[in-house]
Amino acid sequence: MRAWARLGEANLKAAFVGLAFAVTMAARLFVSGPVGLSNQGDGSRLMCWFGLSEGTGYANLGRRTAVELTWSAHRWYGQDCGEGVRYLSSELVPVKLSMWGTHLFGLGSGLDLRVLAVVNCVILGTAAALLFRALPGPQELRLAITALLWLVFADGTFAGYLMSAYSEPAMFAGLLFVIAAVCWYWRSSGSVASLLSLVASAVFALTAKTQAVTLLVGVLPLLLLRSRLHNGRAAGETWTARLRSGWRGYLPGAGAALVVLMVAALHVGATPARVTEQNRYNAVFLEMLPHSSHPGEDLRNLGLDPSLAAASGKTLLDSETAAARPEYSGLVDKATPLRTTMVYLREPLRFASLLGRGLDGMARFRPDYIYSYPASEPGRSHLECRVCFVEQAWTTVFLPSPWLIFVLVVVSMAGGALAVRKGASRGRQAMGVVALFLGGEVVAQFWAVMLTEGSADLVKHLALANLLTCAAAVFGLASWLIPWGVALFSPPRERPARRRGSVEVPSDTEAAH
Amino acid sequence: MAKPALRGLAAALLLPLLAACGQPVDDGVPTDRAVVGMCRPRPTEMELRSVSDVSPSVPCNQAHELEVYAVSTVDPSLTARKIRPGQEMLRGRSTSSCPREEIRPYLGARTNDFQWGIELFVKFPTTQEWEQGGRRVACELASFSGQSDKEDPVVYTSLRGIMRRADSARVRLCRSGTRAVTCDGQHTAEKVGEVTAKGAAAQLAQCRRLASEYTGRPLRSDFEVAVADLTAPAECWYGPRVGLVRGTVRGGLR
Repeated sequence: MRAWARLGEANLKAAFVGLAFAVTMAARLFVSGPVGLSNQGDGSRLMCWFGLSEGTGYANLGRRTAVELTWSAHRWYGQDCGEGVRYLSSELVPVKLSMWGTHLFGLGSGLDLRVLAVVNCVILGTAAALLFRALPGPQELRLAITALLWLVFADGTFAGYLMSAYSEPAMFAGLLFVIAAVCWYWRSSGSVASLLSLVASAVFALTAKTQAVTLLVGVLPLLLLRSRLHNGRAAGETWTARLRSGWRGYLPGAGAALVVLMVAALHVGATPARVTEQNRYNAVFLEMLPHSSHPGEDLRNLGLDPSLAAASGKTLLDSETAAARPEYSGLVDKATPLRTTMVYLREPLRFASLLGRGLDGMARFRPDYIYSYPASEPGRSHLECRVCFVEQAWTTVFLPSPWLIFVLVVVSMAGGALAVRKGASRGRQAMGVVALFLGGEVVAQFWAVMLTEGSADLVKHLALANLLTCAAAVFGLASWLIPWGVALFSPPRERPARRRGSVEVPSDTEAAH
Repeated sequence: MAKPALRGLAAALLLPLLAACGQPVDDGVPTDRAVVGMCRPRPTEMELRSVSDVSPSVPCNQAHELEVYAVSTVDPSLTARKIRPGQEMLRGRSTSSCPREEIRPYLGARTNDFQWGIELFVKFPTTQEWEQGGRRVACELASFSGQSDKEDPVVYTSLRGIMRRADSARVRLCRSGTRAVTCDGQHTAEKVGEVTAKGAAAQLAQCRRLASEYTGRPLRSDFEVAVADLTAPAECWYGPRVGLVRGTVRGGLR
């Protein structure tokens, strides 16, 4: 009993919430047969480094519509696996754990995606527990926020990734860890522990997939500024006075930011050359040129041969691909995201066109060509819809009017901005900061996708932007609701915002305001 | 609170590194050691279509997907490059890198033997081999049996001289209705030759003669000869009047 007491009621509640999150997530994946996402090719590059191949050799050929649950042990030679370059992702951690689990349960010598799904659910549940613990406000409101997020993560659009060979699960769970860490970081005045948790969660999330590197846009300013500014206020001094008092206060945040930045740079630098080539090819030949009135001039502006415009709209693997032509060499060095952006900047109206196409892609919400069921299930060439309330609501509202997504993001950020205003409780401020953080991430993620790959596989690549938008909406709404929530659920404990020292650990007491 | 957080940070940073320690990739047999007649298992599609092939060889009576029919050098326009060109550029030079005219002799095909389901895979040096000066390519063949090229092209025999053997049905051209298939599957007719004569009657007469030569025996009463694609050269097909058959009617096979 003493051990239970030492754990603390708040921690136990959080653990229970996390467990419920994981169990219900697993239930939606397994009850009435497993569902996941079929491998369209990208999954192999993650798995082959562990000596795994899909199914039994060619058994999956022509069956890309089905989820192959069993990945067999396989010996790869030379550059057969990922062109001989290691594909690094934090998703390799759950994959490795799942391989051990697969052996442990006697499910074969390779990997069973069902074990991976369970591991991914546990990781998501852990993130949910930490989030519940870090959220401010009364317990009922925190529970409601966590439940809403479950509804988003459990939606058919996102949940299928948990039982797949893709690296998205680490990105999704990483996002939940980051949200929890941002919340705690803000509420605890940028304490060392919360700072480290933010660094750890950011590293986990942004090393999941290269596209998640946009998390830097929100994480770096938080790391650099929060601790110092908040300490200034906590000590009762003006911000400017504290800023003038010395640079040492910035060191922890700056050091942490440097670590995150370095990891991100290393991760981007470790991207296999083939993946970089594909991305840059797509950005030019599938996005920029087909939507340009003067493709030859665009190529010239990129430093490429205008004659390559003949391959506009052709994929990298197409028989008429630009990559087979001698003039193609140098594309990877010349069509960098920066230079591509510079070409667009020559005609800023093209950004509006990009925005329109991107919003159309976001409105579609779920790729309709990656399927959910194993080959043994009837109707395997279909998308499952066990939990798809978010998808249905989203497509109902946004498919006819994609621009409303933009409105949703703006409103969510406005809600966050109002909550951050001076005089608001620190808990409400934290909620607002998360809404602002997520809104900013939506913008960064959206433009990263549009400028680095564009039309190619657009709906799938915008999955993170969609997830961020949903989460931003939840926190935008929550930052508004907190005062009402407090009044409704815990009126006797309500009190004004406290100003106190630098380290503050979230607790039930803190959570009540 | 700081200690657990520190541990969490360390775990987050180290675990991906630990996890990255996957299975080491085997170097296999270098491209420049490939020899004609070598049979190589490529049990996944990724390996089959990979731009290079350094997998070890097996005896050709064991399961394998690819067989080296020629060893050549890369297209001269690429040899001077210090860094290996991209996959698409290499594949664009496949035809000029491997001698296609050597395929039929390797299969042992005579004038009226028509192969089907044979696909050429040109395997270039790996990036490392290229940087070390390797410019040899292995020209490999796969034999897709059955109804499509979406199935495992596994064989348990050598393709060298296969057209002279009884198991050549796997690589011979037949048709099922209007669809081209290999003769080891069910089919309605087998291609037995091509004729250049003008006029339907003359073409049919030539085709009947070719069919007889092809089978090495008199024409069967339950089979018929059909002439297809009346433009020159017209195709001669020989198959049952009713129903489907399996295997080849080619005569004189070992």
